[in-house]
Amino acid sequence: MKASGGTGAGKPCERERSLAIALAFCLVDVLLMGGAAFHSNSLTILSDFLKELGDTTAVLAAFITLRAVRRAPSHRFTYGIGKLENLVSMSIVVLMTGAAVVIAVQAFYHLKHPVEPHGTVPGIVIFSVYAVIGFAISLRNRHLLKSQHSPIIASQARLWFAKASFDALMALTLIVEIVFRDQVWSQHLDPLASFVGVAFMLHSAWAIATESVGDLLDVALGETMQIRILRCLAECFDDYDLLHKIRTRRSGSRLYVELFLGFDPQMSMKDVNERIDRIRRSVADAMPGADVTVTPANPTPLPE
Amino acid sequence: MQITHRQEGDFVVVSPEGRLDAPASHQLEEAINNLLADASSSIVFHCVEVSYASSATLRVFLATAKRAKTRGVRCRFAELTKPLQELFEMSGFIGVLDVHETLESALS
Repeated sequence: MKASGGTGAGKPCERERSLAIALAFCLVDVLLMGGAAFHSNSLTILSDFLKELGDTTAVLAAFITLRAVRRAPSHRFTYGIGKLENLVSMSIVVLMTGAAVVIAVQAFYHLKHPVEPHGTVPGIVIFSVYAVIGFAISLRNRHLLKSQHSPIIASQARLWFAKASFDALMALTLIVEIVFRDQVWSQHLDPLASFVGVAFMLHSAWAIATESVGDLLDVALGETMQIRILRCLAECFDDYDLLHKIRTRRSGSRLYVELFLGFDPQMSMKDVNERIDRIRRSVADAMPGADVTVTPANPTPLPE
Repeated sequence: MQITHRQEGDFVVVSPEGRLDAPASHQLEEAINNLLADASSSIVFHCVEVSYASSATLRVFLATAKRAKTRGVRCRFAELTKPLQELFEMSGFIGVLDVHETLESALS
C-alpha cells in the first residue's frame, strides 16, 4: 500500500518567460554580432559571434525542453521527464566547453600573429550594451532560484554571468586597443583577455556539470531538506511505530521523498491511512513541490 | 568517529565521539542494532564528545527513540554539545526526545 501526494512543479510560466527573454536576447545578439564581425577584421569579434551561435542553440534547447517537461507524466514516463533538464544542462556544458576551446585556439593564434584590428567600434558598442543586459538577466535568474530550484535556471544564471563578464572584458579590451593603437603591446590584449573569458566559461561549465551529474545519479537531497523531513517525522512522532528508511531524490525541479515507516500490525487499515495522510501532508507542506510517498514497511520482529 | 558503550544499571550508555557523518551513522546504526538485540536494555546516548552530526545520524537517533518506545524501553540523550543541541532544536527533536543536561540525570 502506498500513499502519495503533494505535487507541484513550482512556477513553470515564470521560468519559461525567463528563458524566452534570454532566447530573444540571444537571437538579436547573433544577428548584431554577425554584422559586427562582417564589418571588422577582428578575430575576437568573429570568435564571439561563433560563441553566440552556441549559446543561442543551448538556450533554444533549454526553452523547448522546459515546455516538454511541463507536460503531465505519460504512460511511458510515469515519473515525468524532469531528468531532461539535467541532460540539457549537460549539453550546455558540452557547448560551453567547445566554445571555450575555440576561443583558446583563436587566442593562441593572435598571440603568435598579432594584428591591428580595425572596424571594432560597432563591436565595442554591442559588447558594452550586452554586458549590461547579460548581468541583468543573470541577476533575474538568481532571484528566481531563491524561490524555486531548477538545474536549467541555475545553469542559465551562470551562463549569463560568464557571458556578461566576457562581454564587459571584450569591450574594455577593444577600447584600450583603440586608445593605445600605436603601441605594439596593445595588440596582445585581445588574446590575453580571451583567456580570462575561457576561464569564466570553463568554471561555469564545471559548476553546471557537477550539479547535473549529481541529479542524474539520484543523489539524496541536501542536509537542509533532510532536516525538514526529520522535523516533520518528529512532529508526527506518535503516528508511526518504526522509522525504517528515508529515500530522497530530485528530478528537474521536482523533489521525491519516500518514507518507509512501521505501523502497529493490529491497527485497522483506516487508521493507518489516516496517519499516513497526516505524515504525507506534513512533509508536503514543509517542502513545496515535493512528491511524498509513505510506504508502510514490514515491522521488524520483536524479540520475546 | 569512535563508539564505546558500557552498562550502567538498567541502561546501556552509548558514547559516540567525533564527527557523526553519513558513513559514521551506518556504524552507529549497526552498533545500536546489536545493543537493542537485548530487549530489556534502555539506552542513553552520551553525546558530550560529538563535534558534528549529519542528518543521517539524526535519523538514527529518531529511529532508535521510536524503536525503544515501541518496545517499552527508554531512550535518552545526555550532555548534547552545542552543535548537536542546535541540530536537535532545528529538527524539532527537543520536546519529542528525552534530552537531559547531565548523564547522572539521564541515568536516574
